[in-house]
Amino acid sequence: MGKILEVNNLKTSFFTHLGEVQAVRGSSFSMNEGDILGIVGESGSGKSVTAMSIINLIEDPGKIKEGSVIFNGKDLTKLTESELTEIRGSEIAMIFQDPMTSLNPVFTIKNLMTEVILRHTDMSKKEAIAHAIKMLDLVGIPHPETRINAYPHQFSGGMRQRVMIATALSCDPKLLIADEPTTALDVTIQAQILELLLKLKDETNTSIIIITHDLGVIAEVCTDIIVMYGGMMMEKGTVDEIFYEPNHPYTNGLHNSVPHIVSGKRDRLIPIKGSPPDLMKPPTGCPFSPRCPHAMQICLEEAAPMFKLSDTHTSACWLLHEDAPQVKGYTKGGKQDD
Amino acid sequence: MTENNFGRNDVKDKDIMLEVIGLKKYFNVNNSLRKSKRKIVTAVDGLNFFIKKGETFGLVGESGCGKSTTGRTIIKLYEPTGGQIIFDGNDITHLSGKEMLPYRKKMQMIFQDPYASLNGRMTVTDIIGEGIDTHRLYLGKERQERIYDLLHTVGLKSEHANRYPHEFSGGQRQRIGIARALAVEPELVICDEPISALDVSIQAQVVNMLDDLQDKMGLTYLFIAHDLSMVKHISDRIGVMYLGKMMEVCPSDELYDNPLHPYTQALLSAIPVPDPKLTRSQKRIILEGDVKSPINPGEGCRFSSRCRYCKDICKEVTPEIEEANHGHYIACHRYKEINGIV
Repeated sequence: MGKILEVNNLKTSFFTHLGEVQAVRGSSFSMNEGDILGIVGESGSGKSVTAMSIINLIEDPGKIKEGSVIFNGKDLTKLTESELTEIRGSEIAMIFQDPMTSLNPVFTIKNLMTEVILRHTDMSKKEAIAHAIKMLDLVGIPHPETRINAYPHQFSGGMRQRVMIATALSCDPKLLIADEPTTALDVTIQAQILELLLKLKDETNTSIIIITHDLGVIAEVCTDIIVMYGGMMMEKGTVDEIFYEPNHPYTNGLHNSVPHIVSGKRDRLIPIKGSPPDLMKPPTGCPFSPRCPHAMQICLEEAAPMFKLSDTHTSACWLLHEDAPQVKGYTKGGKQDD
Repeated sequence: MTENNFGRNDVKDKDIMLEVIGLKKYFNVNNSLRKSKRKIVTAVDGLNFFIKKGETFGLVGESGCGKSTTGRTIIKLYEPTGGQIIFDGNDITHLSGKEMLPYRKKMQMIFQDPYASLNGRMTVTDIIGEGIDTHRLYLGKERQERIYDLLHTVGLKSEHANRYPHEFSGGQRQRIGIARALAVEPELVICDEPISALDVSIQAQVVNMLDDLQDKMGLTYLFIAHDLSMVKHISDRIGVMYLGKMMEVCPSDELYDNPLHPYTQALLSAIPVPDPKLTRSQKRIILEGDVKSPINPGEGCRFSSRCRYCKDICKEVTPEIEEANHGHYIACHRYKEINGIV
C-alpha cells in the first residue's frame, strides 16, 4: 500500500480585521491507501481547517502560509485554481457536516449529481443519470429512479447525508474527506451512516479522513487518529495506541471527560480545567499548557516537538523528554522525531 | 387518575415534585379552512411520568420525539392540549399567566443554545437580575451581592457582572444561563439539552457543576438530552420517548443492564462507545429507515415502522404501558417474547 497523502508543516491563518487567527500551526502527517484517518479535537482546534487546506478550500481572508500537501506526487498548494477544480470532486471528494445546508435547494438531486459526474467524466447525460441512480442505490436510498427527481427538502437529514455521500463517491475518488459527517444526525441514523461509510470503503478502497469531536465515532471507524488542540497536533497513533496507551495529557483529559457507558459505576467525570485558547493570541509554548495538570516551565516557553513512541505513535509533550520528571502513565525517553 | 402510572402509588404524595398525567401537546401545521386538509403534529401524545423530590429524571429520544416540547409544556411555555401537570400537589395545567407567577419561581429552565438564549443587549447583571426583580426577592445592595454570589456559584467572577454575553465562551455562557435559572431559588430545574452545544472538555465541567448544585441546593432535575451516555451518567431514572409516546421508564442502571424495549435496545446499541476493542466485539443493531412523521400518526405502536419484531398487532393497537419488573415500565406488545421472559 502506497502513501496517498503527505502533509508537511502546514500552516493556515485567517487575516481578519482584528488580527491574524492562526488556525493551523504546523500539521504534518501522512496516510496510506485504504486508511481511515480520524482527526479529533474540540471546536477551534484547527481540525476542519486542516482538512479544508488539503484541497485548498480556504477562502479569503484565509491563506495557507507555509507547508505542502503532497497528493499522488503533486503538491496541491502549488496548483492553480483550475487544476484544483479538476482534482476536487474527482480524485478528492468532500462531505460536509450539515446536510440541510450543503445541498442547493433549487436543484433536484438529478441536477446536483449529474453536474459532478458530467464535469469529471466523459459520460453522456444519459449515462450520467444511470450512474447517479446506481450510486443512490448503493447508499441505500429506496426507489432511486423516482427519488432522483426530488429536491433536497423532500429528504430527511439522514437521507440527505446519503445523497451527499453518493455524490461524493460518484467519480470514484481516491480520498474522501468527511467533515463531521454525522454530527447533525440522530444516533440511530448516525449508526446507519457510519456502517455505510465502512461498507463503501471496503467496496471501493477509498481512503477516508473523518473529522469529528466524538471519540465514540473515532473508535468505531478509524484505523489511525490525530488529536489536535489549539491548531497543533498533540498526538498521533493507531486507534489502539490512542485509546489504550494515550501519552498526552490532553488525550487523557478527553478520555476522562466522557462518561463510560459500562454500567454500575458512576464515577465523577474529570473535566479539563479552563477553556480552549484564543488563536488570535496563541500561548507561546504548548497550546495546552495553561490547562495541563503537569505543565512545567518549558511547556510555557516552547512547544514540544513530536516524540516518537513507536513507528506509528508520536506525541508532542515535554513529559516524554529524557530530562522530564517521571509521571505515572507517561512513557519517557521516546526518541525525538524530526 | 390513570392506571398505568409507573408505580406512582408506591410513592407518597409529599415526595413528588412533579407529576404529568396524560400530557398532550398538538400543533396545527396548516390552518386550512377545510377540516379534511388540516394537519396536526402530535408532538406529545398522552405522556405519564412523575419526578420525586431531589431526583434527576432523564428524558431521552431522537430529534422530533417531543422531549423538548414536554419540557416546554411543563413550564407552560406552551399551553397543553390535554392532560394534567401537577407541581408539588397543585394542578397548574390551566393557570393564567398571573396565577403561574409563583410557580415560575419554583420551576426554572436551562436552554440548549447558550448563544441564542441570552439577550445580547443585556449585561450579565441584567440577565441574572431580571428574575430577582420580577419576583421582588432582593433590592439594591443585597441584589448585587446575590448576583455576585450566583456568579461565584457557577464558577464565574464578580468582574464578569458588567460584561455582555458576546464576551464569553460557550461554556461560560451556559454558566450564565444556569446562574439565571438559580437566581430565583427554584426547586425544579428543567435542563433542555444543556450540554449538547458545548465541547467535550467543557461538557464535563457543566455536568459536574449541575451535580454539585443538586447536592448543595437539593434541586430536582428534569434532564432532557439525546446523548444517552450523558443522561445515564446524570440521571436516577430515565424515560425513553419515541414520537410523542413513552416507550420505557426505569432506573438508569436497569435501562443499561436490562433494556426491554426494542427501540431502547437499538438506541443503546447505536451509541458509539469510545472503546475500540469493545466496539469490534459488539454486534450492533442498525435500525432501518427514519423516524416516522408525527403528523396524524394513527393507531398502533409508533415504533412499529422501524421495529424488527413488528407483527400485525403492533400496527393496529397502541400498546399500553405495563410493569415488567419492579420499577421498570414498558409499552410493547411483544417484549416478553423478544426478551424471553416467561
